[in-house]
Amino acid sequence: MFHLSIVTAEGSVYEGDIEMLVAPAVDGELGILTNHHPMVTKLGPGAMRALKPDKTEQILFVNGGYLEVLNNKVTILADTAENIDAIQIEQARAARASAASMLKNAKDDVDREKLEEELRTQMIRERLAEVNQYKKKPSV
Amino acid sequence: MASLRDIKIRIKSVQSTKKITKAMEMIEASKMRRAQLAAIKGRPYLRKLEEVIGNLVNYSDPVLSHPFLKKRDKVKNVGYIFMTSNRGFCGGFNSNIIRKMVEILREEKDKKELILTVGKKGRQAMERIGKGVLADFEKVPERATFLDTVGISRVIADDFLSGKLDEVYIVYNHFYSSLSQKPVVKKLLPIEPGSTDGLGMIGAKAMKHDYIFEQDREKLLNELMHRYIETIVFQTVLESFASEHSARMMAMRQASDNASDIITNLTLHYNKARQAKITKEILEIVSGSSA
Repeated sequence: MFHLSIVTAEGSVYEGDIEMLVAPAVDGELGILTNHHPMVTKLGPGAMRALKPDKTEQILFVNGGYLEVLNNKVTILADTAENIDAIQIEQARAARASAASMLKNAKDDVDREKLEEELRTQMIRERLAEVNQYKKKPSV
Repeated sequence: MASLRDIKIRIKSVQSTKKITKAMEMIEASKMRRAQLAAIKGRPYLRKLEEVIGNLVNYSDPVLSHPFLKKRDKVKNVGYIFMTSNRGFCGGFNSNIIRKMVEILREEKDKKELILTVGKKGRQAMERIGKGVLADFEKVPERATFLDTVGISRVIADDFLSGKLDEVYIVYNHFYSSLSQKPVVKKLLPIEPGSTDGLGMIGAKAMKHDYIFEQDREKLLNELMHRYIETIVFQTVLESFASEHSARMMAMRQASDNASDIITNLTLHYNKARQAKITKEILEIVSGSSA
């Protein structure tokens, strides 16, 4: 078991002991177990999955930030972090659509790159929300 | 003794003043709640970021270096980010911090101070004492987001890296509670990483960790360092707003209370005057009829 704390500029999001963490690093997903070597990495947009001691999973969407592992303490400085149960699918769809239309009107390459990044983030967020809703439906 | 009419007019005017201060108190109370919440919620992020940077700088092997960490041998140009409010009516909020700033300027005679102001009152005060302002960020909105303050930290970071500034301080009102806000001078650059909670300490000697850096070490540290000063600036803006609204709410509450006291006093005077007048009239009638 190790300690996980997730904070954003808007406040602390998660604080507690967990058994395993799967984090979306910029260059691929990253699994962390107890006694992990000290490490620092940048995070990309994606799902952060924390396996709690009672074997339930907490999934959060983060859109970037940093992760530090030191002495069985994992600190995540996220740009934003939200529980995927809290994401409204309609809102996520609208955000993705507006990101897509903004990309169409991109002024220059710098702008386009930024907007492409934004669209990618929104697509991941929408997808996560959809998968989450699908999972929650009672099976027939 | 003032005439009945005069007292009545004064009561009326104090009453309408009280109405205004009461309304302002209520408005500020709601603004205060929001500003306080924002300030308090922002604190953990800064604390954790501080911790991570402290760990990296103090315990990493090989030793990391960054321009933000280097102390200059000769400190000639000192920058101050001076945070005040745009509006008045907030008790000692602005006057305390201005006094502090003037004190600092008086002490440091041999250095050149460059001042950046956030808030109109601070800029005006600096103009009054004939001190030029390098840049002014009056338009930081009430509900400031991170992006609103990035401009301030960017100017500071650029000037520090180019050598225009050797040290940077933030002078602002720290929010302790609704009743207590104190002027604070915080060193922003160069960063002095405080040792964290004794993590990995063996005896007096710190144990070094050989961190794995998933990305380029220099680039990552650079990003974190910039993020750090951006976060400090953002957080101090939040603290300053929370202090401002708390101070103004308290000032307005005080004003309303004072107005109530004055009204009570004046009403007493009014009643006394009225009774004196009635007594006088009765006496006149009695003496008139007996004559």
